[in-house]
Amino acid sequence: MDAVKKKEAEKTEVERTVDKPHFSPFVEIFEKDNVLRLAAELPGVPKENLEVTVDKGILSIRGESALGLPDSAKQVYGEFGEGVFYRAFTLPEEYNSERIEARLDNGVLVVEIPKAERAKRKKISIQ
Amino acid sequence: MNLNLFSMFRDLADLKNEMNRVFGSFGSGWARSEVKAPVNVYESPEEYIVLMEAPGADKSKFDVSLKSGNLVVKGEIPSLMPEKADLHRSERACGEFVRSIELPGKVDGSKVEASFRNGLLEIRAVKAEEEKPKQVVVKVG
Repeated sequence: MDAVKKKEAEKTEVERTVDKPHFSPFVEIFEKDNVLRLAAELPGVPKENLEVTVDKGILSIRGESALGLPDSAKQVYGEFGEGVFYRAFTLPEEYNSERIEARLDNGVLVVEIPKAERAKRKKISIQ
Repeated sequence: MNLNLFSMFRDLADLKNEMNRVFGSFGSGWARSEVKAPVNVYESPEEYIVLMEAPGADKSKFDVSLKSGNLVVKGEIPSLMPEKADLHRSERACGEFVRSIELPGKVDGSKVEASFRNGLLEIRAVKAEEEKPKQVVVKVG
């Protein structure tokens, strides 16, 4: 029971309230050559509206889309919304959060997190 | 109508996932993106504007055309995942797509422009003269 409560408390720590509709971006996460890569879809989010942070092992992605429409444009049909994007991930301990790199390319944020040296598989030579 | 128990349950699950996605629930079943390249359509007095979400799309592979009043958009969103990678999560809808979008009114086919920035494709089509709002002055006798 305490464990559940603790988990709930951890959850509330990373949540924030927003006064606009917010969305969780779709992601692709994969690992190759000791680097974990996360690709998040952030269409319509310019670089200056995007914030990527790592705090206490939690990677957070927060952004706001800017569709850049003229004021006279009224929406007549819609399949996607406009607003704030937010999603957070707990990083596994074996990754080095000091060396994270991120870039935004054509509406896709790519975050690269290398595996910590101590967590890499090493072959030990036998004498 | 074939509405068996299984399909009902599946639909509910999809709805739940979609709600989770839209309202940002934390940590429970994320939906995989089902609709490729969702669109919004806007109207201003002079033109129709179509915005399409195509994050990561290959700009050179867009093919935008006008067919009997419908805007047809073809494109491709490549997956970033290399071969032999360990997959942890895959929610992106990658691959080729074709969308046919019915415009609310007639357009001047020679005045359609498209641009791609920040993963959003924007298509602006100038309305045909007959669709533009006109001011009619009525004399009061």
